Amino acid sequence: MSMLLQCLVDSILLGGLYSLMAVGLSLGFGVTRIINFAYGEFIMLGAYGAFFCSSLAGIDPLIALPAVAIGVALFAAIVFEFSLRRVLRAPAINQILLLFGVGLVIQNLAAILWTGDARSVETPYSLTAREFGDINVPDGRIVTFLVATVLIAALLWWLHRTELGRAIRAVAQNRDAAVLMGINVMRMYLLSFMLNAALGAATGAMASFLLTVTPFMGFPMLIKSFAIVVLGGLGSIPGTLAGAFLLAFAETAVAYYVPDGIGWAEGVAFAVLLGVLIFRPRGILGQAVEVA
Amino acid sequence: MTALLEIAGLRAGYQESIVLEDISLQVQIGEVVALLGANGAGKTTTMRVITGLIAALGGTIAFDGEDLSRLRAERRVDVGIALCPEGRQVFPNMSVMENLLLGSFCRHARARRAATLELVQELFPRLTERSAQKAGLMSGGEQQMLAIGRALMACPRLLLLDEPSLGLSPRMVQLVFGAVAKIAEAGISILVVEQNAQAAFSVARRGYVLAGGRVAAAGTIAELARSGQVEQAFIGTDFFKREGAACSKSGA
Ligand SMILES: Nc1ncnc2c1ncn2[C@@H]1O[C@H](COP(=O)(O)OP(=O)(O)OP(=O)(O)O)[C@@H](O)[C@H]1O
Ligand SMILES: [Mg+2]
Repeated sequence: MSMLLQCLVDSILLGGLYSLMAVGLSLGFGVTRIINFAYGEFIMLGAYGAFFCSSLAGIDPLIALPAVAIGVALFAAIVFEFSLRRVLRAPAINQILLLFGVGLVIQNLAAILWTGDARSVETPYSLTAREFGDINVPDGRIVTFLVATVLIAALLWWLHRTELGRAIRAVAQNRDAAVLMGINVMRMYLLSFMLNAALGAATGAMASFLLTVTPFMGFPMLIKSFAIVVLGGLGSIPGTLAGAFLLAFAETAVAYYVPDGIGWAEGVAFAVLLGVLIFRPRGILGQAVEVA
Repeated sequence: MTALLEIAGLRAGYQESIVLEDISLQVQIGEVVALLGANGAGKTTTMRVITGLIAALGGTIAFDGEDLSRLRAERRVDVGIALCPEGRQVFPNMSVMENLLLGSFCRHARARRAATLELVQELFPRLTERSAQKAGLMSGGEQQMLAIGRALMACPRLLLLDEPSLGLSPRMVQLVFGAVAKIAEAGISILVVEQNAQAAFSVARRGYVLAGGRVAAAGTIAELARSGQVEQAFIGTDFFKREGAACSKSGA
């Protein structure tokens, strides 16, 4: 019984971070209709950003988070201007290959510049935990859950309550009609790509004290984000949140209940992806593509 | 007096097919003009070129004496051109109010938003009642009102209406065209595309009939009605060819 409870608490805490991670991919897709296959690398850059802030300047990852997110978003703007902009009207496969290529270049540059060594960030809260009865909750996980929740709430507020947020949703729902409203669609594409990168980087900054940081940490994160977004129906934010908690629960349950499950948990995203694509090609909640 | 909208020798189309060969038409300030023609004649294409959604391949479009070709599509709202597109194209997952607010996204309209909103809600009281409803869940007629209201929110000098009667009941057509008449009375110039010639004639003073990518007939409504050119354009000799074109379009 307490194991089930522990498993649930762990999944919810993990689900918060996964939500933030997947919302970034989902938002980018909802607006541009392009799946950012370099998304994992933005997460990785965010993690390195936090690592260097911490190791070189002693700045806490959470304090560094806004600056890291903005920095990676500016980098994404450069990627957009010099490459993605040219393939916006191209077939999806061209866009995917381009972004996949961009991801590989970033990954290898990171390996050359920062070596392939696994790094980790130590914070006052990354090793402590608190007990609630039989339940053990690491402080680091609570912190990531809270920060992710705040960031998602801020994002939703921005999307629904500001002129620009409304404009970006308009582009997601009907591009031509958005143009007729006087919205500069190219600028909204750029903005959504930068937001996508910023959310990825924020996820990475928090992953820096939960996981080990390596140039290659992005790929599994991409697969997980992609599985969540597919699970939730591409582009739907409520669906994405549901998908995030579902994947978190599935992974945690496998880790707890399957013998030697900790290794297998990492494969859950692949299984989910395969399963959804075969049985529910439109996702579990989503039908049409929409940004909430 | 210069025309508000002046199109001369316009050519336009899609990839391989030229749809508009040579179109010339004018809309004067305060005028309501009907654009008629069979399915696939190029009426929607004309609207899309005026708003800049597709590029002109030749000819000129001037608005208030200013060449439009240099203005990107999203900037044409700023100078005062608003389109209520064919098929309404409301933002389906947004509320009625959000759709209206988006209508006044451009700067000059945003400054006068509250006042315009009041006028639009007065024109279509239904939109006030449904303010919080998701636009995609409204009836076709309500969505049409919303689409027109959204276009009005941009404070246009020229309102382009593409088949506002499409798929509406006769009563709803009456209601919508009643509103169009009021908009015209307020001094906004209107270019309205219609299949329903009767509805168009109820508000327009002049009309153009498109066929084969050209203006097949032009004149006052009385002249067009008398000459029988409207019927001829709607059930032209190449009727079957046009039907084919219309089918391929709906399939796309
Ligand atoms: N996006 C497109 N790509 C290629 N061809 C198109 C496209 N849209 C329209 N066409 C073609 O252009 C021609 C004119 O279409 P248009 O929509 O302008 O006609 P219309 O007069 O508005 O017809 P309707 O009364 O059916 O709305 C048609 O033959 C159509 O098949
Ligand atoms: Mg049409």
